[in-house]
Amino acid sequence: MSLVSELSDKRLKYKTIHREGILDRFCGVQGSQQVIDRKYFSQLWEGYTWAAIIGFINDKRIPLGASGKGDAFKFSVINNNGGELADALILLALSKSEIGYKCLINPDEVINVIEEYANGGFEIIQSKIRDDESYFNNPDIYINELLERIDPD
Amino acid sequence: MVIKSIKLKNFQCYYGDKHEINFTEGLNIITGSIASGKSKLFDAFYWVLNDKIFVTGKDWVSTKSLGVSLVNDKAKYESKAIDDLIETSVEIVVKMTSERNSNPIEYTIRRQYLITRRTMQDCFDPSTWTTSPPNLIVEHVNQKNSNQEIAQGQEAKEIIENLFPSKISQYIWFQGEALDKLIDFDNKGTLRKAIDYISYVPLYKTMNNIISTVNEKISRTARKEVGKLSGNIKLYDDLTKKIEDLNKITKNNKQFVEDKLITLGEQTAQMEEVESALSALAEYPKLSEEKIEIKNDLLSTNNEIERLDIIERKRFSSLWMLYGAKNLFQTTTERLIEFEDYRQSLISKEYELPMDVPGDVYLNKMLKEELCMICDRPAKKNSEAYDNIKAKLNRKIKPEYLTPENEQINREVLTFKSKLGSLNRNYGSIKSEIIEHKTKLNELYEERKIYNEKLQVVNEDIDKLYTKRGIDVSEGAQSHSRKHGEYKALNEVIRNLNRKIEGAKASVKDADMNIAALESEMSKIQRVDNNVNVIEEKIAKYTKYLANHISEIEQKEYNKLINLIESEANMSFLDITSVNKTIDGNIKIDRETFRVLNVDDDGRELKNYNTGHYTLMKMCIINAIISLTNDYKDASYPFITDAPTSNLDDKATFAYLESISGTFEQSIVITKDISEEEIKKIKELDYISSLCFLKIKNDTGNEKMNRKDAYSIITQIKN
Repeated sequence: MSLVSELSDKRLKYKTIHREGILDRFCGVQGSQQVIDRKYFSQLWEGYTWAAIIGFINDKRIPLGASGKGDAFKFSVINNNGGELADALILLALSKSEIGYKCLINPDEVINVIEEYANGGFEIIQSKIRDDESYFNNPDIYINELLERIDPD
Repeated sequence: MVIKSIKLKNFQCYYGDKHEINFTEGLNIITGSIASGKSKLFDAFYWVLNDKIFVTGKDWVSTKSLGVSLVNDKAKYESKAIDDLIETSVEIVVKMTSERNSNPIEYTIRRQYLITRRTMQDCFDPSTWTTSPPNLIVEHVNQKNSNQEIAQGQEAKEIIENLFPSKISQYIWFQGEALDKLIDFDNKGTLRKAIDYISYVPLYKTMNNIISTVNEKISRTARKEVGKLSGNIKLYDDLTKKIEDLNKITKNNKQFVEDKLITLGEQTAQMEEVESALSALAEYPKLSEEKIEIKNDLLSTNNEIERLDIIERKRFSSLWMLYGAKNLFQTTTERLIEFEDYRQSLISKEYELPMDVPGDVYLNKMLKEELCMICDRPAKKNSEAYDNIKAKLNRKIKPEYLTPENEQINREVLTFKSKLGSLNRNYGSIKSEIIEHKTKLNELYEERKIYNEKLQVVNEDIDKLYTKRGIDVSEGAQSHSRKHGEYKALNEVIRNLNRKIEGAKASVKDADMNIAALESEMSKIQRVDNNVNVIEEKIAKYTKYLANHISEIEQKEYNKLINLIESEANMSFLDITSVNKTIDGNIKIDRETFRVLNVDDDGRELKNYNTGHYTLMKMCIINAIISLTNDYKDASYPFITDAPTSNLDDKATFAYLESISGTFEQSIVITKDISEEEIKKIKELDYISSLCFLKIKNDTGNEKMNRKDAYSIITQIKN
């Protein structure tokens, strides 16, 4: 069975406080397309992936800790909706995993790495909100945050 | 007099009690963009003194009619329980300097309005709240005994009337958008009232009335006394009676003319309003069409923004959010290569002497032939050599690179290498896509801002058709027909009035001529004794002379003031027009109609001026009136104005501001004409003594402002 097939049934866990403090604020419920007051992400997986990528890019890896785990969703949700982003998350996990390429046959390691970097990403977002409660309410800030990232040309 | 400060608490868009502005002498500027709370600040000044505010389309509205709408929405929204009490208040401190007292007196004027929650229904519904009448308090320190004096109710109102006399207050409080409602120069009485207040004209008028009455009585007595000395008493009495009858007629006719002139003035003003309304009806379709066009442009811009927004969200969640991960993908590539290198190293090992060669087929052949085909020596059955060959059977050693684990990793590496290649290819265009998207979006935002500004201008123009020309344009043809009817009726009334006035004037003229003839006839009657002097006759001559003379002085004083207003106004106008070449000419006040005209150097009326120019001319006249009040009454009033310069360009705006900075001891100008970028620059201008910036904000971070959480904040930049 391929890694992607094995990952499909695995669940990505995250802390309940990040569901309430971040995901619910930026992500709509599935299928919501209301124009007025709609949130930047229409689905939860988008917000989670965004947090994970922020964690990877800023090299912020924070273990969840057994007591911190609360909510979860299947990796297949990202794979089914985000396609390329699911592959990207695996590739980013590969770049960071301590077991190197062997993580390609270790789905639990891939999940663990993604979870810990997503947790780090959530912490970064949380600290920005702490500094300025309205930080991510401005729709332009998402793009601005991208352009602030350092990318070697 | 100087306003030292203003404090606001929960007043309209000012949430909480942290809003205070300190003012200085000279020019105080308060600026901010649209809907930042500027007009509400002007309202606060007006409300604390007058218990009412100006509402576009409704004129002056009292606290009683405004009700809970006066109270900040956020404060109402945050109320969570029955009996919650919200206080709305405005407090100003006024420093009054007078010649009588060497020490200035500071008056603290505070108006407070309390509302109490009675139900938990919609907090914005007026029936949710119980209101109390506003409470007015004026405090000051008594100069004699240093006691703190507190005045309330009527006593407080009297102090305010003393500080800001109602006759002049309309010139002190000037709101650009409501100029025509505040000061209607088309009405003949407007300038007259101002002149009456600032000059001695009413005094001359009173003196003239007294002297004329005395003259009338003395003349009557004189005629009676002279009649007694007449040689023909009967004729003298007849002539006297005729003269007195004619005098009565003249007096009545003069009163009639005076009354009818007032009516004529009112009817003419009404006529001008109707004419203005009729022209407004002609303007409306054009403005309406313009509004529809702008709204369509705005809609298509908004649709385009919406379309880009949807694309942005889609792209953000498909690839864009990976931007910045290039280094990490490089590491991933290295790790994939690392495995490939490792695998390659295993394959390379396979080129060394294989442990499992020869294979079983070859070994079985050797055993069968009892010969070692490698060293070509015999290997007889059951010999040591034979057993050695036999032991090598069934060795099947698989190469390491073909272990299940390495095989699986290899498959994944191949899969992800391909995926990484695809990602890297797409990644290359992310940055340019984002920048292109952002540029396009910014262009659209700018476009939308321009359309919104245009829409606001058109809406204001349409609103002016209603507020300034008194017509409900939405009624269209009905309004037109009604106004046309009014026009015809008023035309008839004015024609009749003019005819009656002319008739009465002619009667006065006739009566005067007849009186002169009768008096001449009277003087020809011989007196029985020419040596008797009638003292009343002499006095009557003096009183008549005095009455005529005072009347002339009154007229001269009046003309002098009009000239002074005109010349002062032209000085300000020149300051402004010297930097704005689109406005020229001079200000002239028509002595007959009191209309404010723009004329060339030869006094010919210029026809090419627009509403903005006309507003500017009126503002210059207001400046002149206030300035002359200061000279004549030796009292200085602060000049407080909202949006005075919305029709002027930047240069003319600054010229206007500089001009008023030199006119008044203190002026407070609330304006939207100074952009946030310009603030730094103008902060350095010497003639601006204090500068404040207003901004609307909320604590939610939503760009869209909502009445329940948005509020104005004041930043004092220069003081």
